[in-house]
Amino acid sequence: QEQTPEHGSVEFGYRHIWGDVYGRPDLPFKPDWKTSRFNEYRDLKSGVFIRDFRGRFDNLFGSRFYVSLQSQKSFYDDQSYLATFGQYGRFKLQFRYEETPHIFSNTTRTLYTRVEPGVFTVNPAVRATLQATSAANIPATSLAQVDTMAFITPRLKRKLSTLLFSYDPTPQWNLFMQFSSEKQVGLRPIAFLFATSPLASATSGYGAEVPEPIDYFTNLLKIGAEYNREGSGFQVSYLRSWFDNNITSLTIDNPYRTTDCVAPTGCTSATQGPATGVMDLYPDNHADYLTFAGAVDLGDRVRLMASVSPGWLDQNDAFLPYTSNTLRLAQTGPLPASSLNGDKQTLAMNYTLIASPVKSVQLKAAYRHYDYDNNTPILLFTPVQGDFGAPNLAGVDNESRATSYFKKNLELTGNWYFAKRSSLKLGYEGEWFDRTRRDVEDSREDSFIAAADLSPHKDLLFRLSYRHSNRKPDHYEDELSEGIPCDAAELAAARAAFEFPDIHPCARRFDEAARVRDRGDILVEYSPTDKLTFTGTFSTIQDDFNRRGGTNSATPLNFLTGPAATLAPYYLYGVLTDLSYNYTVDANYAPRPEVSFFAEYSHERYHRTMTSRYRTPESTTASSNPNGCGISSNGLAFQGPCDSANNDWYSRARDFVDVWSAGVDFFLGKKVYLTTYYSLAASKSHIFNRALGTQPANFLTQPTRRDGTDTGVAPEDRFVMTTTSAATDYPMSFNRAHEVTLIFKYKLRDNLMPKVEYIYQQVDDKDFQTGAMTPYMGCVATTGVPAAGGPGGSPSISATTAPGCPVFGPTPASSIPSEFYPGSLVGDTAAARFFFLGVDKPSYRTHRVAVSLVYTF
Amino acid sequence: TAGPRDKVSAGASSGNKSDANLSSAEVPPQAGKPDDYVGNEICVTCHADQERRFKNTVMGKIMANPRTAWEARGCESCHGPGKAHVEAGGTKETIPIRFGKDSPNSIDEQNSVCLDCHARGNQLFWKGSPHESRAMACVDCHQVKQEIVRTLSSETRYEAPLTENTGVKKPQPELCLTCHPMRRAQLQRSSHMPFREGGVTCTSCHNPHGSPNPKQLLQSTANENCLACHTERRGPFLWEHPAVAENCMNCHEAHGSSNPQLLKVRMPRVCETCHVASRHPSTPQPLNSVRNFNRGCTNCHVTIHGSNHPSGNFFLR
Repeated sequence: QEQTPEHGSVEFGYRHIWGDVYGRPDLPFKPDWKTSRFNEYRDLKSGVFIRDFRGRFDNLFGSRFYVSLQSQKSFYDDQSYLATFGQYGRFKLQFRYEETPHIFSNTTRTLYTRVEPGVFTVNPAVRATLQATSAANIPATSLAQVDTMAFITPRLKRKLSTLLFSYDPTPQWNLFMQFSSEKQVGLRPIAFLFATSPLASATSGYGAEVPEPIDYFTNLLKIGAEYNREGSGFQVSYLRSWFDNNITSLTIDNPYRTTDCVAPTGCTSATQGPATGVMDLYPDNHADYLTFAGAVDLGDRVRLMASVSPGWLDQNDAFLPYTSNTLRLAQTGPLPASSLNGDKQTLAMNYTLIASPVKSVQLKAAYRHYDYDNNTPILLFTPVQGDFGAPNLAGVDNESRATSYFKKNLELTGNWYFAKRSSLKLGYEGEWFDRTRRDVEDSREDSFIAAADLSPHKDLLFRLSYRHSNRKPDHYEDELSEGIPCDAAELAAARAAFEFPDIHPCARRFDEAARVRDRGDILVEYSPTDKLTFTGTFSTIQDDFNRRGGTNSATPLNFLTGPAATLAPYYLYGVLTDLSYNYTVDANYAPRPEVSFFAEYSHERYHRTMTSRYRTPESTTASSNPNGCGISSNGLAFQGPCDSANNDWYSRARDFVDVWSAGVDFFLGKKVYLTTYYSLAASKSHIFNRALGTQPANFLTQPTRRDGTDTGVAPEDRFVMTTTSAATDYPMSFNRAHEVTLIFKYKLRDNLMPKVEYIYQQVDDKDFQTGAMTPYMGCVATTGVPAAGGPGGSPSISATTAPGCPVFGPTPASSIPSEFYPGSLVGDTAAARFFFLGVDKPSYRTHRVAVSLVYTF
Repeated sequence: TAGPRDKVSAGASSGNKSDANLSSAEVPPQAGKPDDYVGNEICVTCHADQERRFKNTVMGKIMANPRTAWEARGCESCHGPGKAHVEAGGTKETIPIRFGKDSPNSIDEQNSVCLDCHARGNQLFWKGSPHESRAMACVDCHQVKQEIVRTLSSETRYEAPLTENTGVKKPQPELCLTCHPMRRAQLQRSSHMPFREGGVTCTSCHNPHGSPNPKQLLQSTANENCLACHTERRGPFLWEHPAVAENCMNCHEAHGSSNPQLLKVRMPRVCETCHVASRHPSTPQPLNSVRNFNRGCTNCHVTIHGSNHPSGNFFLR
């Protein structure tokens, strides 16, 4: 008997959610679970809901037209709708509307009040109080302001509307037009520094983290046509996208100053600065792309495919003044231009030839070309950083940057299909990179590929692949390394001559540097019966940057011997290795048609190692650089650059991620649906750091240098990685997300199904960088911090006691921990005049119960 | 290479009544042997259930009003002429083209049937694509005779943007994760794009049917892909960060990360791997440093994706 066709379904109901946020006992308030990470990209709350609606109505009014309507999460902040009107195979007119929220934090407070879209102010009385406070009392006075701060929830919302019209005048032709418009509004944390260095201490500089107002508008228009016939096809399209930022700049009050001031008139060098700060927000921009693509069969066994896509990008927003500090602005020169007139052109081209000389062999030759040509004018500016110090009018090298690159790829591969679902692949890929104004102008990467698919039985499939790549730059030179090559003799000569380039000559950026990459992947699928499926995968990527010679050093950079040589030889500074090992196991088992089980497990490991060198610049006086390492050319001892391998340090980042999930689906008596599952995603992140140099046992009590009591380390190799420069381990960060779900659905009638669901979610999160964040982090007060013997063999830092700040107990294990979070930080004197928002995403747990009805019509 | 038409006997007409209305230009070029086609009316005498389900699919609705002689053949447009099958009393072995794991037809033969009508649009670059060259069959992901049926657990575990594409075995991202389970693990990370919440899905960035671009991306490069949504970071900027302009993936892991902001390595290390400069960039940074907590380096260098401020050469504004 003919079944009545269904037009659609709707699910609606009521849900109740309760939960709590925990893990931040130090906060004087309870963060709300509704704005916690639980709702980072969604909008789930108690109340009536329409989960989804799907309706399709064919043959409208006896015609061949149809209408399709869909919706998800109607009337909530993550709602979406899709409406289509058309004729099957002929035309389609479609409208889509989507909203996506994004909540950044539920622990944020601020001193600032928004008075205009891009203007944030601070209560004048608070500013006056802070301005009048002495340097010693700034931490306590600043901390007192936190209680007066207002709560805000930094969040964004994207609203995207898309209209699509697609028309097939004949089966061979398609014409289409798409227009989309996206509005993005909200607040996002952003910081502002009113100076450059040394940050925002009590005696120099100011900083503030504020909510950045977002009011973006992006429009996109795409039109195109396609012609297709037996064995060939051609596409052409034009895309224009234009981005408008309705708030072009951000102006904020300096909480610590009410007027612009430059020492010594009316203020001291410690209290000078601007009354406000102005930041340029993302400028409007436009992009145009033309795309031509085609494919044609050249006979029975050869197919040629090609695409050419030129693009044009431009941006011409008016420049802001150098600084908002009127006194400093008067000292600057004129801007070299009123706007950038930025202009980039891109050209993407791809040509692929596929040939099958015999049925079981496929050969592929592909050439890909991407030219990123930045024609933006290079402009020279007065070197002004921040609003604090005097501009350097003599500076001539403050030149804007416009980098370009040109990348070419060649792929030559062959596949031999020797049995059904079984094949062997061998190939070569080459990549040629040509850059301008970067460290490596030309590089080439050769890759050799082997892959095999084996299906010894129709129920069993192995997929194996391996790739070996070797990237070789022709030459490596950062312009700030002053032309000194990464060569032992040249480095020694430079050091002897007290040359101290900004960038170490052996520093290598991993995206350009010499690299050997090995990648292997294995997949096994086994389905002995229709009831059981088993899948296992393993993959590893191993990047080795620590290559000897070539553009790296030919001799080890850790030249020290004995205990100092604590790491295997390394030939560059930067990333040494980047390794990953991942495996997964999935199983699905359906012993009966009405029951199915699933279980999944994955494990990931990531290791990344790097070396760096702590480098302090040359000092002109002995006293300003008491740990100075060299003997200066003017004869004064113990000055000069500490550019020594004895101050090298090593860091290893290790991430582990395990994901488990298991569940079961029941479908009983064609009436009852039941599912339950549990999943746990657990990640741990470590960053281990250690100094590689020799540290004299008495270095803290032995301030003199070259006095004979030293450890024998040459003065120019003195170990200076102490106090605030110590390399110590960071606490482990972890995240565990649990989810337990139980859903029951009963088919009351053919078109009516009540549904009950319960979902429990718990996310435990500990992040040492945000887990103790409050709006004021400038308070550093502690007792009993040991002077030496911190983790990793490096000394702990000694803290500064600030009057009025909370005092925390003795802490043998780490530097200055919070009383609530052993191993976590408390603050930094370099942030004494820096207000934050206190952004954190603490742990949460929620329970969700929903009762709904699924109605089919 | 061999296609289904090697096995499908040519025939100018299937005997379907709709053929009479079609122009000669729409008749498949290799049509022939009309006697081998029995017509849908014969098929449904035994396969009424399949026909009932098929006609409720988008493909079934298109074929209800065929535009070409090929479409007008109904079941036989994909399965080949049914005469031998009918005469043999309906044995499986006599169906010229069958789909799926148990099919005697090669993957290429099966796919060619689909590509007869679906070679355009997103499929233009299917030949030689990673999935094609690994002998993936269209029916590994797609199903024809019915629209998607989700399990109850699937409904809750995965969300995806609304779509009219219901001719797949599972919805996204679940479908792709069948063979890419590592991505499923990455989607569970604490720092992720709204995959799990259904804001974006695999095909928001990738074309599984092949594209001329790396990693089967929709746009020419990874950056053009990211900047399609993050248009504010597109520039050009007065002060560009070269590593950003070249590849967002230098610092970010798009599929999910344990580090904030989808970073491959958390701040300040992600910056320090490249910046072995004097002063603070090469300082290990103790725990309580303002260059470490909160957002690390970007507490100060906030416009790290590019600045248009005359004083923004260090990305401070």
